[in-house]
Amino acid sequence: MTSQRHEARLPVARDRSGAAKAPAARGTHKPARGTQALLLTALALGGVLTVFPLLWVAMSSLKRPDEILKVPVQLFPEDWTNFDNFIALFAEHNFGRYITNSFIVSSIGIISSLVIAMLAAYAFSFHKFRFKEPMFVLVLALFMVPPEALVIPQYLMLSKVGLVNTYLGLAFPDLFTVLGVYLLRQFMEGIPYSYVEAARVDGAGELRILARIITPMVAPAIAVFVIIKFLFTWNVFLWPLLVAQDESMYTVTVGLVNFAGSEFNQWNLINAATVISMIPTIILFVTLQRYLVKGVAMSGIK
Amino acid sequence: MQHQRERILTFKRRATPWALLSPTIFFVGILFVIPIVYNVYISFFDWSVMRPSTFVGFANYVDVLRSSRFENAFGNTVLFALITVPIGLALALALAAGIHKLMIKRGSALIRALYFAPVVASLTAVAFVWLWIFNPSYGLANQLMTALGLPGQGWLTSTDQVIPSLAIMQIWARLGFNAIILLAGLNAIDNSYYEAARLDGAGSWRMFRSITFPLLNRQLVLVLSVETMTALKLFELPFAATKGGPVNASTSMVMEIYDQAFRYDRWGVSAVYVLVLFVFVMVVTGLMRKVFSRDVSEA
Repeated sequence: MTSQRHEARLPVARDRSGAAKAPAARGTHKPARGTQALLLTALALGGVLTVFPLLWVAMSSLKRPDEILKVPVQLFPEDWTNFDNFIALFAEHNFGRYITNSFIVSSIGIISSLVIAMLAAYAFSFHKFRFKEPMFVLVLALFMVPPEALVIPQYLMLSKVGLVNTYLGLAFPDLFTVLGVYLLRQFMEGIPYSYVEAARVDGAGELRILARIITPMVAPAIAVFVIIKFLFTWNVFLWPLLVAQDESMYTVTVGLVNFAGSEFNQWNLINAATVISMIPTIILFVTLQRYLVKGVAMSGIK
Repeated sequence: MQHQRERILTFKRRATPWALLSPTIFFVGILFVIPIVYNVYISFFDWSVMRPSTFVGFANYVDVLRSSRFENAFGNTVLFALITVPIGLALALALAAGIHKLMIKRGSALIRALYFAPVVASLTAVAFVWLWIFNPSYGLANQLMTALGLPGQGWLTSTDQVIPSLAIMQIWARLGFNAIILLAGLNAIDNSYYEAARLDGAGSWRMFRSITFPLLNRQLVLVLSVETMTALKLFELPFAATKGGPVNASTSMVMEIYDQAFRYDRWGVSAVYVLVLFVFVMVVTGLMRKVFSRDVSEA
């Protein structure tokens, strides 16, 4: 159990130790210094090139309306502390509201899908019942159903019960996520059955065992799931485009597209709006990168 | 009495997992099963949200499959997938292999972060990032072309270049994600295979072909099928960057789904598009799994 926790908590450390082990293990075959330097240069160059469009948008968002349309293109903004565009988006436009909406919708989706996935993963990990594996496979198969293939009937269902233009309606397809069941089961399977058995003998109820014993043990998996789920929900576009019909219900993605469509050629503002829409996920990425990378990597390894 | 108590206990023990799974079953029902069935039902109607709907049999199917709009949207979407999937996969594999081979103590996390950063941007944000770069008058792309002594291009405003331009955006946005999955796969391969092969005198290309490639099969097939699915549900990029233009040159299947329902109130037609896309995605990704999956369980 200790190793399980350790491994889950320090994904990067494990990766690094894996990488550090490699040269020794390759033993006789020492990589040439020149090749390594060349590889490093190529990778660093490619990396800078990859991240450059993001930097370019960030720098463009600091330019004045006349400055941004200069030809030839100026790489750097003249004033690095010119936040006029951002101020305008919050003061004269509704971006504060869009961000709040996105946070509300993401929170509803995260909480609901996490609770449901915890219950399901617990059943799959610590209970024996008929059709267990076939059911798990069936749930996993839903992974491959593109959400876009469900929006039309889902929308019609939602409008029948009057949930269009509500937060619950916006969060509707995110209330449950297959990924959660999968990720949490992976982690729960690593917990020895004896822990659960001992608690049962002591007379603890199933929900109590799940909340008090299992949940703290799978905390890293929960973190991974919450981050990935936040990323997905924050970035989703088609569904809120259909469901948020009043401007006051727009999420960030819908607000951004709508704004860019109405402010044709105001590139200083469009760039700033793009930056605003990315700020929360960029912060998440910078601070919790190891969990995010771990989550992506885990969804690829069985 | 005793007997009955035992029966209650047995029932409780048997029912617990189902109780725990009931929310999952409920949501699988209302989010997946009912919508899929409902969608098939709608597809047989001239369905409107304004006026009463009438049953039309297979008329919507015939309409869609014969229409030039369908041909155009399907063609654009498939072309987009044919560009993004192979290039995206090859780049991700090269990148993952490069990072895997890199043996520096510090800085490798930073390099990974540089490639992964675009992954956290929404596709709508990606659309505007590149719409600005591809701007024919003020964009960086044409500025660069001029600097290199090349003529400026139309990019997203040219009917021939719009799909390749959108493909560049998608490949850029997805590269880090795919590379991380492949990198995790590479890290999971036991080094002893390589040692043994080296003792047998195998070169690096041979080792890549005979060890890395088969042992990475699971991740490669995963990336391949996920990328294919992602490409076929193309929507945000053209919706935000081109509105499907110029002259419908970048209209995708999902854009048609949206337009038919929300712009033309033809929900039955939209439902047919949904079904065609759904079946196509399932068949293509299913075939990929079947054709490319190799069982490499260590014997």
